[in-house]
Amino acid sequence: MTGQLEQVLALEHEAVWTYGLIGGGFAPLRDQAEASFAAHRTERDRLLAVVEDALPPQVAYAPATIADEAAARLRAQDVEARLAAAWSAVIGSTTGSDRTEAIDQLVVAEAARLAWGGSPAAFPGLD
Amino acid sequence: MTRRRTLLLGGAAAVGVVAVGGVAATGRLDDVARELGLDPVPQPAEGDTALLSEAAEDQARLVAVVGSLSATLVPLLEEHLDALGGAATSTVAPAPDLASARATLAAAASVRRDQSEAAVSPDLARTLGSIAAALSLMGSGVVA
Repeated sequence: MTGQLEQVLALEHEAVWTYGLIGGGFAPLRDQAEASFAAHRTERDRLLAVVEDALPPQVAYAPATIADEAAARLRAQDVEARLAAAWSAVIGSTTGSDRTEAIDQLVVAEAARLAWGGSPAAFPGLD
Repeated sequence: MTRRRTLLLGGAAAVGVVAVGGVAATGRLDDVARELGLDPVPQPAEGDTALLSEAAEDQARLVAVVGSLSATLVPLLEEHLDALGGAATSTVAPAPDLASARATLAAAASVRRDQSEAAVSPDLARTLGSIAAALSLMGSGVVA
């Protein structure tokens, strides 16, 4: 499971960075971006305490600019979708309560993707 | 991202289950078979086969329960049913209203979560876990 959690943590670093970019760049999205930023910062910190030998965050994540609000929403949906996929991988590599926790996190990621304007998916993390 | 069709090709055939279930028990025989140029196909874990069947049956119930109450939810539920290899049922009455249907979906999400936790095959676990997540969001009204 360690490798899968490392991937989740890497994406949490990216999510924190991305929501900072969105919140700083688009005033109408600031409140939502701040909420997402706080949620991902909390989850990032939780994982930092769990994952050993984790890679540090990158200075920036490509593309490092976002053109407009619509692109910002798509960017948010993208990072949440990749987090959902990463948690799905964790489901497959765990058992018991760890697997249940991964399903709960999958729900969180998919709910966030929808909150940023994504369309409902039959198979979160797999579609 | 991994597409679910790569996990559960052919609906009830549940390739993921087949690929993982019997590896430990048949590993040596498989090695022999491969040396002979054969392509062994391990059997699925018995428990996984039952889980898949139970989940498919319950998904058919959910499609009937939601019925015509939501044009958004039914196609998603039908996708679940299709992927699990289930068939629609006409023996279950639809819920009286959407709130009642959502309560049923939330309860089913919990069941699907337990089924995922019980699955031996990682691929089946991921599929059932994904369905559990979708049902949870339907049940809570996040997916309207």
